[in-house]
Amino acid sequence: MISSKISTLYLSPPRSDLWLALALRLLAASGVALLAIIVWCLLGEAWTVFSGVGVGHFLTDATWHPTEGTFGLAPMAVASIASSIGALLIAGPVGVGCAVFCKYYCSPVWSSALRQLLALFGGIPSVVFGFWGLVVLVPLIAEDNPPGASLLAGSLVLAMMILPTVALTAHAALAAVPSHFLVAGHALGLRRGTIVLKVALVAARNGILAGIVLSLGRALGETMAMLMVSGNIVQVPTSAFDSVRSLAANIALEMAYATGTHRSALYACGIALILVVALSTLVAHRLTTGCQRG
Amino acid sequence: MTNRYRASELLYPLAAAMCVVAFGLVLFSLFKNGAAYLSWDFLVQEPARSGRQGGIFPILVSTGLLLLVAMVVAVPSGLAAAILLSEVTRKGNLLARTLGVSLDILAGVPSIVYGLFGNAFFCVYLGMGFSILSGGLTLACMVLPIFVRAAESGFTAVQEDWRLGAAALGMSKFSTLVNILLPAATPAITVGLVLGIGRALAETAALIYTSGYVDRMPDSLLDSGRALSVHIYDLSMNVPGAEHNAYASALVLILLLLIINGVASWLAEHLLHKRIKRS
Amino acid sequence: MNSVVEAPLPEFYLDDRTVAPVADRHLTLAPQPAALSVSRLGVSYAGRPVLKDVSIDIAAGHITALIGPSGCGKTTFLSCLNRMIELVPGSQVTGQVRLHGVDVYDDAVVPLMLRRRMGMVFQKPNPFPLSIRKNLQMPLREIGVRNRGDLDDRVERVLRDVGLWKEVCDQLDKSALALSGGQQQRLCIARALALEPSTVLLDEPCSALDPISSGAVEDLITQLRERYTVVVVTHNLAQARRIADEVALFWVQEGCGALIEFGPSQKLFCQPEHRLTCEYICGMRG
Repeated sequence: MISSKISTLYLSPPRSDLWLALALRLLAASGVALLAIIVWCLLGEAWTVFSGVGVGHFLTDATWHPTEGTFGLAPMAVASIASSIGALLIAGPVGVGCAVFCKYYCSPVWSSALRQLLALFGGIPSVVFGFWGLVVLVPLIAEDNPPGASLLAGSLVLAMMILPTVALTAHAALAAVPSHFLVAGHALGLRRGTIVLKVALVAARNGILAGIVLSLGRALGETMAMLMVSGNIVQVPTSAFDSVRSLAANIALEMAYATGTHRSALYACGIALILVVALSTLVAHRLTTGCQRG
Repeated sequence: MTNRYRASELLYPLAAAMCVVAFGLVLFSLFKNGAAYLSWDFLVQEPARSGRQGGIFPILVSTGLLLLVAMVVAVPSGLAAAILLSEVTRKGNLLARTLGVSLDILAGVPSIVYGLFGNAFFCVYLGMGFSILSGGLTLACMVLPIFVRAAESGFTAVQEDWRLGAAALGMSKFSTLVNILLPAATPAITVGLVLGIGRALAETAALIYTSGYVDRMPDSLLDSGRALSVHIYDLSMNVPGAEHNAYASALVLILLLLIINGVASWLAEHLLHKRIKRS
Repeated sequence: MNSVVEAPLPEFYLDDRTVAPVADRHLTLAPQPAALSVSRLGVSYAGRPVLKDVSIDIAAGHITALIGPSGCGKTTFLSCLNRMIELVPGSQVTGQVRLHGVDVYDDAVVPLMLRRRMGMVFQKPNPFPLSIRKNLQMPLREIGVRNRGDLDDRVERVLRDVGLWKEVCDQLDKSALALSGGQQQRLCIARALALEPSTVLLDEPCSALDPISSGAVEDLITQLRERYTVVVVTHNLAQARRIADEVALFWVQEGCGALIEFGPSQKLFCQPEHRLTCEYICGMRG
């Protein structure tokens, strides 16, 4: 009783497979198209100012007064970079320290709880941080150093926003350190502190750096928090208590009423922002896929 | 020497404590100042006097609609992209690789730039003006990369055994997908969904210039509407004397996020339970 | 004991296609028409040959065991029979495989349909993460069986066939992953049998199981004799001796797998022709 039914071998494949292949390809292509559309839109809008005024102005003009014809991005770029670096100086050590604590000095239960808490904090919207900065931090700083809304306030709020990312990526990098490194350290009789500092952190440094660079990119692109707490005056900061305006905040502020060349200039700002963030993402990628050895 | 050991090692718990304290401060301050103003009335009334009084009902409705539009657009295309990426990673198709790189770049684009794009493309070029549709579509673009990454990890994690078993049974690709791969990847897809919703709810800058500022109840998807995050921004920066409601709104936003996270965790647990792990 | 089975002539033989003459070095011993006829099969992965020049006739209704040490291409050979080898990127197949006279590598043959005619069971049991009932119903729904009654009938029939019915009849809706290893493997065999294939291919079905489950699966395989053409890959010489009608020995020669000897199991184990076979069976090599 062996059934053969050989002729069924020649039936065509089910229609549903063909439809599936088609649908998948269409939808995926639209995903690629999305990036192209975004780039095309931005370039299109920025074209007016590029062709009318030229890229040079953005780099060399002293200040930002688009209605009067000066398009200097420098003060705002400095403000963005300064606040982001300030944020990193705070969030970097604290975040990495927190990650080390979670990995090596804490029981697994508390460690997992702490990490979940951090993930929750990472989900708090930037507008909430900005709001808190506005009503708590700014008055606090203003008591000693008016006006309060300053580079310092911006850095602090940014630091709080990137802290969870830094801590969680650092933790992931530490967790990826092969255990035989640590075992070797123990076998050599090194103290736990030394093992952590000289072995684990060194082995994980690529992953940790990548997380930091990624957070830098995020801090540079952050709009709401800076908009709400940093004062929004276009000037190159000379002290941490000066009011500044970041690139992203500038776009958000002026978009409401900008027309013509002014509006076009804002799109040029946007392109500048993307370039900076893309650069930092690339560097982060290079760091993670580069040397994997400790 | 022993002192140095102890002192430097204290830095680590100190860092952890600083983290917890910092966020604790924020949350505590929100609760302390906002809880008093949070009430059922607050949730169901319309705002009055530019938000100094009244509630946030139309804003909650707008937020819900924005989320709906964003998810309805992002989830199917995101799933398709995830399936393609996971199916084809092994074969290294050009379309898949380009898609992967595009999505990574999109994930890093700052939100204000999405606002610029949304304004230029949806509001001006496509003529939708300031509307929930524009805002929702812009949100969909922002949510897509996050959702695809999470869903893709779910699909690639599905055991090769099951794929081989299905192929050996002569099952069509479509039914393997629907009957085996999708159910198996559901926890990861849920996580992706939650992350996406979280990002969408937190978004402010992109929405100001695509869905607008109007704080009354929207008539349709083409009408302008204000999201919760935009409301918090407006109350704190543009409306003097409305801080108490800003606190309350911020509290509502955080509670919403907590609830969504909680539901997702419960769902993931529950779905995992149905599938007993191999011993 | 071996009943002669008439395979009905396929109806598409309207043109003058004829069965290609078999190569001279073809080893064939079954008196009745071969179910599977393999001719000079060769496989390479990304240019590196892993199997060369295998020619063998697998008899219908018999249990054929493929034995040999690890890495000599037995599993590769098995995957060639139902074209599962095509799922491995970079694989190339040369030669011919004929199922009841039809060249399975012909462009007109759809692999999906071929695999429904040949069931496959893997080394590690791989039931789907669904209930027992759904595991068995899924392939049936695929081929178009929709009627609830029919589905339940076939599920019961195939579970009785593999001897699982009494054990699981009251828990058909529980997850298949909750079964023990041996039960899972029998479920996988049941799933393969649900489509009523003509051939069943088993890749070391007992190697991942404990001795008791192993015995149960082995008994099940012997019961498949005559109703199905069975090809079993096994490491276990004693098992091959117990269950097989014909045995084929594979070996690695010059870095590539090859067929050394093929014959009725009695003959191979008692009077092997090749010296390598003798050494392997006596345990001097392996």
